[in-house]
Amino acid sequence: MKFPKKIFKHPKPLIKGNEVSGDNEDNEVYSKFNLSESIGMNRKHLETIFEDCDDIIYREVKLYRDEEIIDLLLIYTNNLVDAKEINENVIKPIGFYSLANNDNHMKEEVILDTIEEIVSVHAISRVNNFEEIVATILLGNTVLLIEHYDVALILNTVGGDSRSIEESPVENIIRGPRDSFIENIHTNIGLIRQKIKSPSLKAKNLIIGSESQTIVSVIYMESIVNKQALENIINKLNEIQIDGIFDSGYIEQYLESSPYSPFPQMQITERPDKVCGNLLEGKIIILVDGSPMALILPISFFQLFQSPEDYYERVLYGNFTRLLRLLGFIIATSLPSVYVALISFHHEMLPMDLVIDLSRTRAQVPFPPVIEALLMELTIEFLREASARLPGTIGQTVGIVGAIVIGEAAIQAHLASPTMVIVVAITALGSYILPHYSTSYALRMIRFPIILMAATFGAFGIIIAWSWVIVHLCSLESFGYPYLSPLAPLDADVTKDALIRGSLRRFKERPKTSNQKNQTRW
Amino acid sequence: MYQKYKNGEISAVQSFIIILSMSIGAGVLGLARVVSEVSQQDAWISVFINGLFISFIMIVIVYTISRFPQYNFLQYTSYLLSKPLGYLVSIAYSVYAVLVAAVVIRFLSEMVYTWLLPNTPIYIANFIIVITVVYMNKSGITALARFAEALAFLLVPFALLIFVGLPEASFINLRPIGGSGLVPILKGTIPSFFSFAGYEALLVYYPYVSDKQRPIMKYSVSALLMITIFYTAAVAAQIALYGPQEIQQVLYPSINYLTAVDFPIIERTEIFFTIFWTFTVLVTVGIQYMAGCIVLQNIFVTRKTSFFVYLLSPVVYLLSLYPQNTAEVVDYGDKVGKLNIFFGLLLPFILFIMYFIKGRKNHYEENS
Repeated sequence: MKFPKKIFKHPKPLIKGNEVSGDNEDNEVYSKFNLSESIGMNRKHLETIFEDCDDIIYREVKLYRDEEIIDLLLIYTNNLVDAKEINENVIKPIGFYSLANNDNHMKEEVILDTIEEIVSVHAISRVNNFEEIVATILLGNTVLLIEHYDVALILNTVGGDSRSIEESPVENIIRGPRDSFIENIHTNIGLIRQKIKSPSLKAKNLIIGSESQTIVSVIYMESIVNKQALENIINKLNEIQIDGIFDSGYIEQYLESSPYSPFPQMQITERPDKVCGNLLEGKIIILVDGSPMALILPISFFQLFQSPEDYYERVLYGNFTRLLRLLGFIIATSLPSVYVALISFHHEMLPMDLVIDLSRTRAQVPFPPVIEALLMELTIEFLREASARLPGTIGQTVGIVGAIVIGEAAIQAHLASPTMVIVVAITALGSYILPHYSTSYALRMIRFPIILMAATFGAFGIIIAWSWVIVHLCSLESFGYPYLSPLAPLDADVTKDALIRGSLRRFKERPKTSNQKNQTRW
Repeated sequence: MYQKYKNGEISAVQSFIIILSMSIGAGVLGLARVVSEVSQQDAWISVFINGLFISFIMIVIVYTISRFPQYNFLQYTSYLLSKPLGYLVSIAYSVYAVLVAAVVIRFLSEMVYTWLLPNTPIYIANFIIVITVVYMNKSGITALARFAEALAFLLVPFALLIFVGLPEASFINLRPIGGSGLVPILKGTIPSFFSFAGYEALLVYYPYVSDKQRPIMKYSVSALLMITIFYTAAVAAQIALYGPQEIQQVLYPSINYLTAVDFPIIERTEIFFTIFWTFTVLVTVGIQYMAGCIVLQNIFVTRKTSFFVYLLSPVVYLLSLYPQNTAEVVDYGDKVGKLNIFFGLLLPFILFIMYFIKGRKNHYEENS
């Protein structure tokens, strides 16, 4: 917001009226896109800009001061403002001032200052060009125009409807805080600020999206964050060219450096506590207005297995669940392929009794194991997708139908062997175990190629496929940080907070992602 | 950490792991057999002595090249040996690295053929391995080192599997300790020398270590000592199980050894071993291949190594198909292994001596 400082002082009320002021030394500033001193002209200009926008409201108010009658005009967007606040804190005080009309005020006082004094809105600023006025009206602020002044007051009356803070529907935990982000970015930043009461917590707002003008907030701890990484990310954000941003997912796709990798390079979360924990590790958080999902970056692979509950529970329990998740990851990616490889190639690896049992149940199934596995896996994927998209009540029905189709009918019809059903079921459970939903996409996507490799080359195929996956993970980077750290490159963090979580007392040193200068937490 | 190791660098810990996973490779399979052919029940002593000797070579290598932290392989060899010789050694090294990579790939596919996929033609297994190696190396040395690091944890179950046969072993087979005489024991160090081959890759990788202030000497030597202990224990355990006579009839004692025990769920432990071994050998091949590509990059001064990674892949593939049968593979393996005498033994000492003759003087002049 740049305009001549002069205005802040005492602009003289020039009663010249209906013309766009100009032809003096401030020519280049008072261009035709700036406010004129006539309220009627200004209104007309705004009405042409907001033509057919019936949700823009123009409310005329009159201020009586001594013998003067001053015309005021309030302009705001109907559903974005807090109507109560405008009634109580803007219109009412102006009316009262007119009624009281005592001599307490200084005669010389400029009317602009008077209004600023009597209006009880928590944030007021001044503006003098239409571009900013239009933008600010659309953000939910109220613009107050005053006759004879070419400066408008912006009253912060942002309100509008938003969801109340509820328990996170996606990331459930049993022990720990229950609140989760909502669609309103200001509430979300407030939730973070409530947990970290430090001036070092910065929230830098950017406006992205040529049409949607969405607020995107970059949140970080100034004392901890790596400045270079931060600068890099802000530059990348500024380079985004898009017309509208409706979810943080847009930002994610614009920022990531390997868009075709199956693994997510940043983490999404709805939980303020998770965000705050990451802020203290020097991570950068991106919030997008209208999206309850915060982005955490940079991340490492092992972070995808971490849930805030690991830290709230006692060390042993936290580690137990974490190892359980890792096992879930391995099972979810490779159990079907191991089964296919064992049945098709290496049945000699299994104990004799088991092989006899397996062959008895397999004998009636007409397909090779790989077809069987792919069929059942696809069915599970269909079920999952169907139950995620359908409304809750029908979703349950789908679950029951699916369970019967997979569990009973397929075996009865000899389309699948009972062992295969068990394998598929355990696999599905294993992929549900991960706390980070996008990771389960990665698991599901790499599972199928591994099954195919296992069907073609047996155990060797699994080895090769896993080598590819690990090589990919090794070359992947999340915003300049190695994806597999602290395992590769190896450092001391590996025993502290990667696969296992050490005691909280050992967390004194911050992870290597943070600024190297500020290495200890307390 | 931010964007560290971006320009094709590795960390000191990664250089340690590179030596570790480089040396544990194809050689471990037949080690007990080849050594006990010479020194009977005292093969493990031969392996141990040899390990100590190679640790000494390692000290020489690290001592020499740590005087040239800014020089790459070509630069310090041509500085120490004169330019034409430096180029010759570099080209010979890259040829050697490619040959070793090809032989090890063939070893791997032979193993896969024997234990995992008896019906799949060798050329298909080879093809898949070469693709994997190229994929491993195309992102450069940093990603490769990370890969080695991530898979280094597989060496733990690998090491444990070596000892599963201990309940079946009888240590009377190891007696009399030292009974085969000093000369056979010393002679036995020669075949065991080849199973350690690969440590000389540090000659190529050292210039890319980013944190040279770390005690690389300590890391490298302790890596070799760890391998020595592991090999010694493995050879001793295998001889204890089979006896010095019988072991000479077993082609791959390290694998057959595992058939001695039964686990409740896993029927064939040796296939499990083969799976871990395959991962380890993939890393070995990757590192060896990368070493060759890096030296070529030094010679032709290209910006990226990936050019040579792609260029050499058909060469390696064809070379790995060259031997006709397993016997020939073993034969070629021995021949290529002999080259290691030059790169693993002679070259470090020559460089060391030349450093004293020539390097030191100039070095002082540079500093003053």
